[in-house]
Amino acid sequence: MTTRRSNGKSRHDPVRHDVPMRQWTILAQDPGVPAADGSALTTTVSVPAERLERGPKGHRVHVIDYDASADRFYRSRTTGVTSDPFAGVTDIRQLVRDPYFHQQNVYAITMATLCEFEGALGRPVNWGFRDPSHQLKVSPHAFADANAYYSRDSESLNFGYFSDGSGTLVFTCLSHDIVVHETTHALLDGLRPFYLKPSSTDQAAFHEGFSDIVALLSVFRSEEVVQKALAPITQKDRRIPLGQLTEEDLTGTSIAKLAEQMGAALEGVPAAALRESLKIKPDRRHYTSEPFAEEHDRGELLVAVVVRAFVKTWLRRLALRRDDYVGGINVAVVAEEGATAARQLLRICIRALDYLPPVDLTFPDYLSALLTADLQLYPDDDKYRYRETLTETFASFGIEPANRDRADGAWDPPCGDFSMAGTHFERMQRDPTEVFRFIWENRDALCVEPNAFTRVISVRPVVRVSNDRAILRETVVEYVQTLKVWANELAGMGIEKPDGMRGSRLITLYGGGSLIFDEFGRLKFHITTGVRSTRQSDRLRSLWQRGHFQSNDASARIAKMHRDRVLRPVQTLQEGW
Amino acid sequence: MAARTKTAEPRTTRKPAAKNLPAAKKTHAGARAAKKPNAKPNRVTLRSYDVGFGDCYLLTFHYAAMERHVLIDFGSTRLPKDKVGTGNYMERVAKRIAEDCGGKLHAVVATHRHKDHISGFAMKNGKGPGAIIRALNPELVIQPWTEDPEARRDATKPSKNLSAARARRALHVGALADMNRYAGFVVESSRRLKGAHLKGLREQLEFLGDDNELANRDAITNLMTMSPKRSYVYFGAKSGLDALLPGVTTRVLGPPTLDQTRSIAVQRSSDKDQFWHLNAERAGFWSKRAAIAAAPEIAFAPLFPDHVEKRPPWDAGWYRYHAQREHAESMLSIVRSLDDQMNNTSLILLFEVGRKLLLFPGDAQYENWMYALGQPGMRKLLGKVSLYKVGHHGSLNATPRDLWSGFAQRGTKRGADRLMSFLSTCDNVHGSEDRHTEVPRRPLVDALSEESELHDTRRLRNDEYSIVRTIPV
Repeated sequence: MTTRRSNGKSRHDPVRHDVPMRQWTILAQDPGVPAADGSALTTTVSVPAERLERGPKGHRVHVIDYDASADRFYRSRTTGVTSDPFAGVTDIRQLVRDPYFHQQNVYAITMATLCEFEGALGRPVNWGFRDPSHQLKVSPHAFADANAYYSRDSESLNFGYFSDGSGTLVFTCLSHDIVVHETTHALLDGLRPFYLKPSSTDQAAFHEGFSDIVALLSVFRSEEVVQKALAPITQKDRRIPLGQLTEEDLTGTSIAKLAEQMGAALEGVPAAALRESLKIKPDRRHYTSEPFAEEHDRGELLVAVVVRAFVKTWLRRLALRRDDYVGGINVAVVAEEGATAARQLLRICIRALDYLPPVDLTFPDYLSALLTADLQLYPDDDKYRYRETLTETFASFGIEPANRDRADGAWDPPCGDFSMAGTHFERMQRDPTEVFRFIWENRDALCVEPNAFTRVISVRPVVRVSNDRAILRETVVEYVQTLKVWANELAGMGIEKPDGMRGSRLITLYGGGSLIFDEFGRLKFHITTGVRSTRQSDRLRSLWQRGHFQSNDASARIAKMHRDRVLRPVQTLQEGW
Repeated sequence: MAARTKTAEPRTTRKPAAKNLPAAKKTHAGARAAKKPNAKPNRVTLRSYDVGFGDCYLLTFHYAAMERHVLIDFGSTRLPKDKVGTGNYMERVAKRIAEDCGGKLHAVVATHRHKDHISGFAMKNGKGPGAIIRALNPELVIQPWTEDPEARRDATKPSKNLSAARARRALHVGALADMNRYAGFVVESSRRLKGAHLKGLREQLEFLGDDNELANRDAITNLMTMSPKRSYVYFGAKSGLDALLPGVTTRVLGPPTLDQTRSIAVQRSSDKDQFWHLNAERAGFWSKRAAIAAAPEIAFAPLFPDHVEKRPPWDAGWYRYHAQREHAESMLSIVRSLDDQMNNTSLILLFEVGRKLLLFPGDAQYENWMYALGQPGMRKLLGKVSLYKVGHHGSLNATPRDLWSGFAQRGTKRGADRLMSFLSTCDNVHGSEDRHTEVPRRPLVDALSEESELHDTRRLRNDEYSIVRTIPV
């Protein structure tokens, strides 16, 4: 993906890229964040040049402009579907009034986000729909409400519109961060379907927090947006004094002002993440403190950590240039470093998904996964010290790596001898049954619960490429275990039954693991949480306290998750009749 | 800070606000009763009128030389079918109430502003069931503090002209009004949902929207003006009934004020500023919905008139089917949320008459109950309840399990001291068995039947208007 302004040409250059790409004009953030001269702040994204039908409808995304509030369809372009008629348009009113632009904006941002995930993970990423389906439906004007959500049931992203207090129409489909946020929900659901199941507070917080992180870092990949954020500290000669390139100035002035504009018209929509995250100052007590015990607060904590890590990374990159720019650094250089830091951090955040347990994740797990993911591709981190920055920043909010056995916090390789009896690695790279045989033969070495129902849910060969062209080939496997027990059987398993829960309640315990094989078929990592894990007590208590015990509707949960970010309904310990 | 907070606590009595409506006739009944400080009721009669899906209770205190009548709620969203008689059903019930109380009500309690609790108070041009109740000259109307007209007036003023505590109260009351507005929008939206697959959702949306919308305004106005005194009460406030009901102690157990609610929240999150911040955000959420309701043309008229597609694309039919359902479910989820919040403004009254404790919790759900149940000695007191008006027509979460299990007079054996429960409800109106949300909830009704003497309006014959039960005290 590129964020440079297009020169209008979108012809495929086979020397530059192995996949033909196409440029699309999008809003860099939203209509409330204009360029310095008041014109539209646009940018371009580059996505695979595919055959397109009206919609636009491509092989992964199908824009359907349907409004359920009025039961009405809006027309999409029928001619010149593959061209970008909005290149060079800077009149914001023209863009806001034109539904064709809205359709293009959601198509391009959704596809660009998909490409970012596929590039970072080194493989195609499927959507998480119940029946195998390749095309995500996207409705830019789905309903009259201040909300936007991903739905697994209708295989879609739905963007609402509403009137603000002054009568101006606000279209959530025109907010870059909202579109990326919802696309990330869809992608994360495809990669980790169990993360939408009610579980611990951290897991409940992760879907929303991770979607915010990807959305914010995606916005900051745009140099136009970063330059806009830097405007308050940029001098007339387009330089920024070195004294103002500090964490306080960047978070307190530049980014904070941008955050105000980004969220101006969008209260109640998942768009105020940046503003809220900046309010959370580092404090080692935060992670375990009562104010962050609620899932939405916990999610904002994760965003705060990553935004802070982004700023620190940005400053570390700039620190290497300080000697060259005594009188101040040109804003273009500062913006370029910021965009690069955002791009690289985003990739690390996405890659870490493969190194997480498939169920019941915690933030310490995520930190260990981040460190492992980066260590795999960049063993040498001396120059910009990304891992050190991440470790320090997470620690400053009270989050330590899950694995304390290694100094660097990354996951440990598995102990023990693993039998490859009866298995063929070539098949293990693609066939769940073959991997299940491996798990079956190595049940004791893997410490897999014998009484639980075990299912391999994905096998994904990956090829990852680092910035310096190092190639990493791995096979990522997820298996999930489920065990149904009565609540009064929990004590016998060493799991605490929540206070007030009936002993006759049937409980489903989830466990599972991620197996990472190297290119020679050796097991590199086994990241697991068992059905008898001590985490189960926390998980059950958390579910019970949040009143989510009977909830199982994944689709409704995202829409509700967004509303509850504002409404924060009272959590009761009560069991209904 | 404490002093400012105190100014925001609702005063408990008010004089009539509206000038264009006749003030209720002054009587001396209350004064006469007050002259007999030692008078005590010797029995209590409770009448539960069949209003279909709604509540209507007449509580009569029998003294040696007099009777005192308190009407608790009078509303319905679904009238009972096949009742004998002709004419407006609620007017017929109102006339029965007038007969049963001998033409005089001493107090009216409106637990909260839901239609199924107050629609019977509606009056237009001096007619309707509300006019009949008004003519019974209640001396006192009791409502929750959220109905205080002063707070509602404040809600229309810029907050900078108010003290911090009054501004917070106004914000909350303003949000309740915004919820009513959005409920009206939901009713309008539900009418546009076409197709058999949306039938269940449409009915739920219509029901909850109708119960919550501003159409109850006539009833609210009548309640504000039908008596010489009005009480807007909260946990721990004086009800104003003591002078009217000698020998009876009436405790207000809910709703809590914002400060009382905050005290629970602060225990849980340790940050009171955060509590007020969240409250402001919630109000913002509802004001955004009120803005949507205020301009329905934005939702229903074409956004881009020149781009309307005349024929739905063939490849979009599957999505359309699901999108309609999800949109309706999303609205339903919002309207359920506001319905819960309205229920949690409900009054909870506990009458103590001799050794008998009579509990009337309106539609209070757990959020409302939380403050009261956390107060010292309250669970012990509630354990002695002899008569329980089942909360929220028997829904799954309005009878806290720990409250129910704490009732000491529960039991399977019949006897004079066995717990009595009164359920006013209607089948197949609210919730669904598939989702285990049907009202009344079957496991709750089973528990009520087995462990208490249950009086259920659904068991009334077509020629019966009320359940009547007299309890010696």
